[in-house]
Amino acid sequence: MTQPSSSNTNATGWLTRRLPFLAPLHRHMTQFPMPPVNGWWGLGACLIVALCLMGLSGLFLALNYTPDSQQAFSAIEEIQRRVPSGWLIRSIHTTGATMLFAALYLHVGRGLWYGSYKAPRELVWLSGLVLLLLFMITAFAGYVLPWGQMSYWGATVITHAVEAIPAIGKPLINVLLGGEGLGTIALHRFFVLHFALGFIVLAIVGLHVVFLHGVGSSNPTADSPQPVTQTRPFSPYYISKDGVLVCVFLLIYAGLLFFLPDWIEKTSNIIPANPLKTPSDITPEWYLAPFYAMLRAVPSRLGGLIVAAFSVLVLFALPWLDRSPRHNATYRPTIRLGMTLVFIAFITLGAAGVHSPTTLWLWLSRVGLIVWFGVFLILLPLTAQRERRLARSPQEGSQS
Amino acid sequence: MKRLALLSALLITGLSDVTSAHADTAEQRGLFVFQHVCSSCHGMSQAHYGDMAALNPSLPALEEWSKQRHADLNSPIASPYPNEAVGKAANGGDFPPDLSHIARTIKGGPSYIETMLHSYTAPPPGVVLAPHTYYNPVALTHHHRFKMRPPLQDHMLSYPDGTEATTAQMAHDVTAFLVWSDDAHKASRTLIGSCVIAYLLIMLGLILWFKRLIWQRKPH
Ligand code: HEM
Repeated sequence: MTQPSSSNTNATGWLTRRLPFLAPLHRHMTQFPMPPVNGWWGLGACLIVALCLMGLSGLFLALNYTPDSQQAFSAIEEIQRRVPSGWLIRSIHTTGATMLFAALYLHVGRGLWYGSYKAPRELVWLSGLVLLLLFMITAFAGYVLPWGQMSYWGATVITHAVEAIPAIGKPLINVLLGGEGLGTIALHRFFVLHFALGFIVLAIVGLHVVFLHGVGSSNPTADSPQPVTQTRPFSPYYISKDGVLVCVFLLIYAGLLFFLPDWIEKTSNIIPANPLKTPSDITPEWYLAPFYAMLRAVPSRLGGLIVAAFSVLVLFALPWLDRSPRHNATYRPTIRLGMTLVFIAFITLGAAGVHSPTTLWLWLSRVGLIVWFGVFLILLPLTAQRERRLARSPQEGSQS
Repeated sequence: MKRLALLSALLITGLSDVTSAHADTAEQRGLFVFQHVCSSCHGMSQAHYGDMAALNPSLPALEEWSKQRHADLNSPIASPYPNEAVGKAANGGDFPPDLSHIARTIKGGPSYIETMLHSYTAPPPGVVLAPHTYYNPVALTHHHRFKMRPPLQDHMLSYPDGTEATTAQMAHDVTAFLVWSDDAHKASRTLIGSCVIAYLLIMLGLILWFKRLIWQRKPH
């Protein structure tokens, strides 16, 4: 265990002579110096595990799925009822979507709180945001596939929203749906989109990790009164720590999958899609609910779409909106308040998205949006400016 | 020690769930009621005749049932009506809904179904019923003027296992069957889930121990 001696054994020796970069790569990965990061840094490992489970279960689902508006619903029932272990494979996939998004939002939340988006990790942050957008599209496309009532009507609402984009909206939807509304052609395209995006996402995750390995993980103690600068090699210290967190993650995953399936599958989606019967209320999955609430919070269709798009786009600008040398919100009083409000706003928007749009929920969504943009576009740049001034003239800092 | 006790408790609850499907159970009697009563008007089109083998191990009997309905073990338990219009015409204008997932999709769930099935009464004075309409104070549609004729009568069937076929008993059994058919793998899910959770708990214990050992060493 003390010596990385694996390159001496016959099989790995044979390989490393033929692929000489393997040894330095192995050394880089195992000896990767880790600052004293806390448990929130284990979410990346959980995400990788969740993603692998999604990919595997997805492949097996695809073997038994038929992208045809007449057969899709029964294909899912076939998987649930008669394909051996089909119910298990399918619940791994559907529960996986929830677990993946939960980990994803916490992972992004970690980045916001600890200032992970800052130099020199901009590329890690930006590639992560591309992943976030692709995941939302992938999940949306995947949710259409079972062709239940909520699949159909959710797709209807979203395609109508996209149609509101001037000039390109209608042609875009025409291409996506094959010009025939929501039917077999559209369903087939959603299937290909979902399947292909799964692999594209995998490649971008690789890029995300490469970007991270160029600069290393950030140090959450760096801004504290007693910074810890000592690093530990990734193996075995952080492998074992990530192992514990992945195990806890899998326990929650299994608990939901096996014992709370009703939390995952909405009843209205075990009713076959019926274009003639609108369900009494169309609600998205919880992980898309915050953005659905944003669409509804603005009285105009186009306006809602723009606001929802900018709510994510503003995150892309964070590395440049906040150029303070400080990272960790724990030691930045205004940012600590701001990020807490942002998290509350996001949860409020999520709650608004799964409830019917009463006046109360609409106004709560609007307040949530004001907080979201206010913190990112006003509070964060102003605080950063002040902190940079303080950093340049430290005396001023001790006076105030 | 506590973990071990928890583990065995989980395993036992899981196992008893699976074995229960093989005794003479409510689900099995419910299938009997469904075959002889409900399926003359309702389909259960997401389930196949062969799927019922999980409850009724006699394949020839199931095959016989499917043949009577011009189908085989691999066909869906379709509605007996050739199309919606015929089904509506035969039932006072309401098509008998498919029962594949009724236990989950209907308002009130299983307890509604069970109560509704034995709550038919004579109409209160002053209430006049149209033809093909039956008074049921629990039913959800048409202000208790329900379109499903009372399907169950005491002793209309005799159960193979000797259970007395009262209306309440049959309502209870067929509801259990509908719950089963909505989520046919629930018992295996509970069993496998218990094993997975037990496995992960042991694994978590081991990794925690391993991690503590590693973190006690100083990095060089
Ligand atoms: C499935 C999608 C994703 C996977 C598999 C993934 C994976 C990882 C992994 C393994 C790490 C290193 C361990 C850790 O710090 O947790 C990491 C770090 C990071 N990720 Fe992700 N990530 C994903 C999505 C995202 C998203 C959506 C964002 C942000 C918008 C993001 C931003 C970051 C940042 C900034 C870091 C560096 C954190 C630091 O050291 O301070 N990631 N990611």
